[in-house]
Amino acid sequence: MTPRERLLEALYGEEPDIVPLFEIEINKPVVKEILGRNPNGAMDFYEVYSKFGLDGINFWDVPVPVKYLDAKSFIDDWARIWKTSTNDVTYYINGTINSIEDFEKFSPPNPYDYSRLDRLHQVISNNKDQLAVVGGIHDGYEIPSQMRGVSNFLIDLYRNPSFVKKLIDAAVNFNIELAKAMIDIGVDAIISGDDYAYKQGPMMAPKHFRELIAPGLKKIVDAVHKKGIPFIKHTDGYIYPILEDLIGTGIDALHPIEPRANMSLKDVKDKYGEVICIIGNVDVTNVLPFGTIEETVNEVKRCIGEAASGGGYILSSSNSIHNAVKVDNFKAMIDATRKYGIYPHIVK
Amino acid sequence: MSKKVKGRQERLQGRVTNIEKTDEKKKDEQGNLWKKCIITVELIGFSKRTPKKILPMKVKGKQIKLLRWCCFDWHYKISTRKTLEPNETKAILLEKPTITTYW
Repeated sequence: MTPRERLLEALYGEEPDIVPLFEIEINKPVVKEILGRNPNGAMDFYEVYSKFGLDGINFWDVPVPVKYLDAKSFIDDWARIWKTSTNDVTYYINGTINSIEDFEKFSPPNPYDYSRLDRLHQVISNNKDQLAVVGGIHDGYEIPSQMRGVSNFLIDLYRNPSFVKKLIDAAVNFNIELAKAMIDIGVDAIISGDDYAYKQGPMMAPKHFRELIAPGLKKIVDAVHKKGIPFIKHTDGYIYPILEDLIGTGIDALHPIEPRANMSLKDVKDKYGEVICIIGNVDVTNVLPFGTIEETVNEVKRCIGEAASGGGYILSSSNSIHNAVKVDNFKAMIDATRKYGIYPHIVK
Repeated sequence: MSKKVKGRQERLQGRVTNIEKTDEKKKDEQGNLWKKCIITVELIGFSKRTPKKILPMKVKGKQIKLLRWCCFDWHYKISTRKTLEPNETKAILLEKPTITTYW
């Protein structure tokens, strides 16, 4: 069984040979530490995913600079301000759409722009169907809220829902086309990365999620399904208040069931494990950055014990392999999954 | 949703209703002890790989027995879903039991 087949079997709710491993992102400094040099292009990231024994790799649609404000800050093609930190990670700062008039003057970017897709092109043409390749997009929350500035957008939900709908439509329509372009290149699955919640709960009222955000997500999920591939939804935070509506959009998998936000892997598996594939949730807040190898192995065992039975489960960190994660713990997570995540095998 | 896995065969799924451990055992390279088990599964449908496939009435709810090597605690959970291998699926749909798939 190839890593790609292993990951796809889990996404289809089946039982592969071993619990598959997936990370939505390994930050550049960690990749640099593993490679022993600065990563230069998509294939260096691919090398790390592949050599470390992960079953899938993801490439996010990243902000495309259209105007530099200084050496480290820029405005991207969604009118958002970003800043690159000293450790080479790009962070969102604020939006520049201050009114409906600003938005009416704004033109969304071209989803088929080669610069958005060249990393996927490169990796898929060299992959030979070994790793599952996932295309990372957004849905109807992150881009609109970042264009407006998150606080402004959350106020808009109450005061100006018609403006919100226009913002969401622009983001959703763009991302449907981007997903189609990624699928035409050959990705095996699409993931959307919009975070809807923080540790205490969703950033918006469940009513606003249901009426404004979820329909846009459903449109994207339906478009991806029409092209014949599965859809993974990522969101951090405590999402129980919106979980039913989120699953009602038809998503095939949910990542990462954040343990530090009081999300229970066991609970989500028990309630929804026959409807969706569960991806998570090795603690990346405490255990992977600060724990011992033994604590990491125990955390992996916990995850497998809670969610692997019956298939439809992919093991991953509870967010991504960020700068503070110890490489030895990351490696221990992978080795322990290979050791303790073997499914019952057929008697021949 | 099967564009990317074209050529891969349909797979039946069911719910585990019983797991009977036999006396047969083996050790793997890492020293784990595996026990041969007879797993009883009640058929419920096909996996998401073939979302439009409907379970034929002749096998709906049928209790079948599968042979598996089991080792870890989480292998012995009852009421969980079980995915059948393509050859097991075929044996059931053709109503031709084998040594490892029977009813």
